[in-house]
Amino acid sequence: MKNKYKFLYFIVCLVLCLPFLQSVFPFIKEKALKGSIVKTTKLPLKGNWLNSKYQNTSEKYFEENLGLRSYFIRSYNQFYFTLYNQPKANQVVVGRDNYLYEENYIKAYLGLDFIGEEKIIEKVVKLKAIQDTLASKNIHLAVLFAPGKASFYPNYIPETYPQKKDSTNLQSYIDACNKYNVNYINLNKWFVEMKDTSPYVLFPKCGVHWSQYGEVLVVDSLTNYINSIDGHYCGNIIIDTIKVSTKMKGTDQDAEDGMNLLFNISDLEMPYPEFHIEHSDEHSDVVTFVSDSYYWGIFNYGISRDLFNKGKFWYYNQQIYPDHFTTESLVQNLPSITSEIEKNNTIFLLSTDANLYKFAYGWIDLVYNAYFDKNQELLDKYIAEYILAIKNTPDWYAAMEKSSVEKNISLEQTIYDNAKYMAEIKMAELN
Amino acid sequence: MIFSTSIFLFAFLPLFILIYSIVDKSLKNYVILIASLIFYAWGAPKFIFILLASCVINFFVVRRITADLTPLKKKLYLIASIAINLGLLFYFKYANFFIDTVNSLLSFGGGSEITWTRIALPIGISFFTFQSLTYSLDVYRGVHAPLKKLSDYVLYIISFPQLIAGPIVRFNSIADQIINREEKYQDKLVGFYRFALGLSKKVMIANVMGEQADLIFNSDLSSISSATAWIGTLAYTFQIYFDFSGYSDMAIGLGKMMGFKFPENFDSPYTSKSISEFWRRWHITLGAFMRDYLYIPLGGNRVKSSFRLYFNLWIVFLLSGLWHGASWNFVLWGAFHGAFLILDRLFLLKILNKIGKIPSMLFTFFIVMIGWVLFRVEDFSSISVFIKKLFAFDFNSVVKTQPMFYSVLVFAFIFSFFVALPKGKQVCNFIFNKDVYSFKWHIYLTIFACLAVYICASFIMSSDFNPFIYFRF
Repeated sequence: MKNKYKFLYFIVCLVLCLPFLQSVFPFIKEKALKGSIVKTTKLPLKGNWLNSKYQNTSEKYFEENLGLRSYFIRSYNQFYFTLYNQPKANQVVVGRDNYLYEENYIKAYLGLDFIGEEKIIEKVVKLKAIQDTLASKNIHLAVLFAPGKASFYPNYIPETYPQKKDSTNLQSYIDACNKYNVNYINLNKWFVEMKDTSPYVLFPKCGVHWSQYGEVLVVDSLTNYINSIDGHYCGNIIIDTIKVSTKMKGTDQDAEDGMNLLFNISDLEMPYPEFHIEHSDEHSDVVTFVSDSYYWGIFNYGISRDLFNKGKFWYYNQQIYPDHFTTESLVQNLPSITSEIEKNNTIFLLSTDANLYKFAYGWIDLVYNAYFDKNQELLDKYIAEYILAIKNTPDWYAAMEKSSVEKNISLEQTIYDNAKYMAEIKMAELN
Repeated sequence: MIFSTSIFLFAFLPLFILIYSIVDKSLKNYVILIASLIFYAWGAPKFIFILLASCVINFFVVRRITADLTPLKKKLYLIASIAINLGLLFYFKYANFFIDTVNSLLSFGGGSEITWTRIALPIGISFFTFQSLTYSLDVYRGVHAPLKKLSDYVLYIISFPQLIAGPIVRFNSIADQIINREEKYQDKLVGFYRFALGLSKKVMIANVMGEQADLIFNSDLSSISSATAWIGTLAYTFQIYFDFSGYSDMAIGLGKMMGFKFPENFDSPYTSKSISEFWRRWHITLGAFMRDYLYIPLGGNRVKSSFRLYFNLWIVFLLSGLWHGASWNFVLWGAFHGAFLILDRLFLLKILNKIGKIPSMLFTFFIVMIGWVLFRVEDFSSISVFIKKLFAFDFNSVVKTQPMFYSVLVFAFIFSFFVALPKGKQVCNFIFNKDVYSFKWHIYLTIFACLAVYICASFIMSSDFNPFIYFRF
């Protein structure tokens, strides 16, 4: 009789041991959790015990790597979503009929993130200057205003959000581009106009990016655009077939994936085109995209490599792909931004409306300064060189110390003034 | 380390149970001792040595009390033991408070403040200090002989189930169990059910209530509505009960799994019909400690004058308040409850008995809730603002609540008050007072408890997991 209670107690112990056993001997196949999370690194015991850092990181590390964790989290998330219609994913908003958004898109559509006309005009004016400079080098620059999920499906936005404001970043940018003759393509408007007549779905229900069919349409549109510009050419994209499925691929349920649920939310039938590229013998434009995540799908089809003559993808103007796949390749580390830009025939700045508040991720100022403040950049460089030279030359440094005392100004100021004087002489000699 | 973490539930606890189950009876106390040392050192690595040092010193000081000494010398050793324990408590818990108070008075009087490096508070110091005092006093009074082995004494003080948050286990109630206890698997199972129940109370009710309470109490109190203030008060009322009683349930359950019978600490306190009754149901072990080691030595109910009786009561409650935290609002909370205890003895109890069970329960619950405001809000000006908001009767605005709040609030109410019903009392007896179940019931309860632990684990692991879909630039 005692043994059956002992057996039951043993079952309790086993239940408590199961998650740890799963992490060591995975006996159940677990679907990995999705979403961007910074994983905890365990700290060494030495030096981190008394201040409790070892314990805190160990506890987090243990939990992150515990077996069955994905089931624990998915169960809770499913319960929370089913009962309260709330997602356990940062920034994800559950709209009507379970259409999922990222909150940024809703804010952009409603004008809640409007940065003001002044800032937009300042950027567009600089963009115009860059456009004209690049045009003089036969490089075509254009802005692509990609559609946003909320702009495309405004009717599913939850009622709790306020009314749409009069001004939005998108409309202000378009107005400014029109006023200052900056090249642009309003893909946002195009998609909305196509919504009811398109034979296939252009935006998924549970993803925040355009559909694969939408992407292929955009590529087709861009090739037509490039080919219509004098002196520019790229091939064409030909759709071979389109398969539809309710089994989502790519980014078509990225928002739902981030929610980490147990059960799938019912989806629309999504189109998955198969295509091929056609080229003539003509030199194809090298096309670079400076873009947010909306270009990833297109990039992953090999469009930059096969259609745009191995053009680059500057992801948020930070990482340069495909180079960054193999070695760290960052915009900030480029030896010469102008040289890099001038390797291209066409440059597109692509942004969905949700990212227009930070358009174009610093690219405009970076390139503008490179082209229009070249002299200042060179002067700063020479000053830095002379400061270093002064500090490394003992006699020169001693003279600066003496001068600083005589003039009653700081040593650093004295060194800077002298370096600047020498740099200006050098600039004058060069010019 | 706390009980409601993955590392405790799925590493420490199963490993401890396994080792404890397989070692010989003579080694079991050492297993508890080592586990407790690891448990405390994990959470408070700097203080483990202070704790051990005070245990060693206290053990040998108290042993001298039972030596062949004069009564005066025995008393001196007792005083030394009390001084060590209270001295440590005062230094670590109250020194900052004392200096802050002196500095406030000095700056008010135009003087310069005392410079002082703030001292960190060792976790559990209030609990293990009181346990240590019961050892010293019970040995001195001859209630029980001292423990022979230092290891047994250290085990008594730092046993991990009740080390951090009680219940305060008095020495004489546990002494024999330390030396020799009977362990049955049925009891271990019952202990596990109790642990699972406590964990559920803490994770599924207290944490949800706490999230809502924090949202409100950490906001700008001057701009909240009455409705928000009442929601915050209700939330905190249930947070503190389910958190504290949940932790006690876990401690009692873990103790039972080791063969110990710890005292009950809560008995449906919100069903009390007076503040006097409330203190017989809330934190029972603290009340018993204060009664036996402070109130009775001050004279108890046998003092000659009513004034002296009420004064003693009030002092006990002022000190009880201060024991909860080193801040004047805790003293105010203690004084508030002390005042109602006096009023009970003066006339309030008679009125409450006359008005009937439900009105007196509601009235007592209301008083307790107001008391919790004093407990939660630390500075007096904020207390004043919040109390005014409670009674401003401004219910116009919609209260922003967490999604789970209202559904969990319903359960909190049910579990707090259902015991007042006859059927509820039956269920409560079945869960808390029954030691023997049929095997069939053991199977049901085991399944239910395992499920509860897993559900709690999903709550625990999800609380920190809230990813963005993509990395942000």
